[in-house]
Amino acid sequence: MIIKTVKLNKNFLIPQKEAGLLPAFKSLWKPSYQTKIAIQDFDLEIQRGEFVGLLGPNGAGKTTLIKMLTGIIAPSSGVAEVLGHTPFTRPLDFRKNIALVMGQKSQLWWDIPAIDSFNLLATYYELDPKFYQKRLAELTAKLNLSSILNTPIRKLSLGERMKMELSACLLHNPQVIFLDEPTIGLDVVAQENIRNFLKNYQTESNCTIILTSHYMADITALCRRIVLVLDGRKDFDGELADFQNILGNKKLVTLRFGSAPNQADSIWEKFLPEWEADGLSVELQVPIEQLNNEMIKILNAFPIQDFQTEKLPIEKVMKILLNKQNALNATK
Amino acid sequence: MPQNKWFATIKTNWNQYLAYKLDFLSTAIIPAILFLAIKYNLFSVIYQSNSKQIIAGFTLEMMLSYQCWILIFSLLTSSYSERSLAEDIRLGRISSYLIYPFSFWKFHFASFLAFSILQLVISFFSIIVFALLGMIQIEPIGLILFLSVSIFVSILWFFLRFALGLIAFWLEETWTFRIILVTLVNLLSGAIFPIDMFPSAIQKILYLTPFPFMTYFPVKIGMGLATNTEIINCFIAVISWSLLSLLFCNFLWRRGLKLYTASGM
Repeated sequence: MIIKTVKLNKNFLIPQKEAGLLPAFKSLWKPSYQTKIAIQDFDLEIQRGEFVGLLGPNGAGKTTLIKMLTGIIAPSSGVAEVLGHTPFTRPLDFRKNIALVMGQKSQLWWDIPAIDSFNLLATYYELDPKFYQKRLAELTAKLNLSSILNTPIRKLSLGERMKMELSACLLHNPQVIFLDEPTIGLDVVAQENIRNFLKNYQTESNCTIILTSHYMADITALCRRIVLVLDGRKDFDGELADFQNILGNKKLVTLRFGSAPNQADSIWEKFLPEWEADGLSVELQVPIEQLNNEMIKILNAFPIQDFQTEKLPIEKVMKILLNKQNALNATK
Repeated sequence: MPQNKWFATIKTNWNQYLAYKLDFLSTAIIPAILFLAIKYNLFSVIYQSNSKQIIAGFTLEMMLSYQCWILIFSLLTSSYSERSLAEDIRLGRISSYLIYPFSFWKFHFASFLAFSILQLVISFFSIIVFALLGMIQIEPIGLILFLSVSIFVSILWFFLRFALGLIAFWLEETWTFRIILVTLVNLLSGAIFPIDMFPSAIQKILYLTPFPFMTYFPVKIGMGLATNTEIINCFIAVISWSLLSLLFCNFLWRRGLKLYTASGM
């Protein structure tokens, strides 16, 4: 077992300040706090070589969980174990075998060239010079970084910087890698490059990777297992394929009409319709066992120009869950 | 042969300073020179009526020499800024250091050493210039003792400023505390005028604080004016206050880290 949490909890005390000067002074000697439950009774087990996607809306607790697993913040209660260590005690052996990439925060030294940061990290991780040179050559070749190694980090584009961050975090060949939004803000080509690199890297090294991302393409391309975090609780933990069926075995049907149909017709209601603004197109979620009969009824009753069916994509599943979190409970 | 972690960190810090040469000059050297120029003129005017008069045991020549020694001393000792530390905490940037196998403390102490070594070079240069201009008298044993006590005072400053930076775990802004500390030290340590100018009752109270040992006595040692007892007391006081500050920093760090939320990540 590489990662294990048992009844892990994290509460934050958020200072509360009323508007105005007087309440600001009052808060100096009598501060008031609100307790925010960030993670609640979280049980998790991750084995070596797994690529796990942490999913959930903003503020769900994904990053808090990663912060606790990397030892950056202390849990309020419960057990967390990574590589047999308690993360918050941050023993040297633990720190030498994990890595964290934060998409929203640079970990490299901003004003100096990347190669200087890499050299410093190689010293911190006590890497053998030969191993380091070989590793650096491999990583920079794979990520196409050789030509910009001498450029200060602040002069790099976001995509280049993120590739530098990834290289830096992989220099010491960590056993567990935490990636917090590694593709945030990148264009689609840069996202795909990073995705491909991560996929190949994980296959070759058999390391354990925990990924959070708002881009479903990252999750579907990389993670075999998904953990859904909602309001600090684990709401789903299983295979990607199972997650796609989380709302039942439904098909997404897109219909295009020659002329706008009556949206108030009762036939649409049960399929959670999403109409285009022009009223000429609709997306329906149709249970697979009803698909034939219902489609015949609709085709006969409305002026259909075009239609297509597909498995409910993960983006859609997430969107439904985020918009209506009790949808998940309803399916349980 | 792998590089030493400390040396590698010091080198990285130098690279960072080189990236901002003007900032280094404007924060490290120019204020100290300006401060000297102001005090030099101020005391020249005060003593103008009678250049032979003695104020609190200091002739004009001694007073000007005292001010030059203060410049050298401040270059040697004020070599660490807690601003970056407070910002690192407030903006959640210490997360990286919590993960690297070189602790946050060590990283900041290495930054302090990097700056101190640069300042040491500048200080030597200043000592030579002042000596050649006849503004200070150099006495080998006094100079060695002065440099030794400066090392301890700079460590005391490091811990005091580190503690100030750690307050960012609790407060959003720490600059007010920095201004209060720097003003208090400047006023009460003898950095503006010698402690002898205070009324004797206040002097007695001041000797119970770390302030006189943070400028006045070390400068007196450099000038060769300190008695053996004063030299020993100065070393004991500076080392004791440094140890106390270290303990205080450690206490703040342990408490603060429990409150750390790594915001913005």
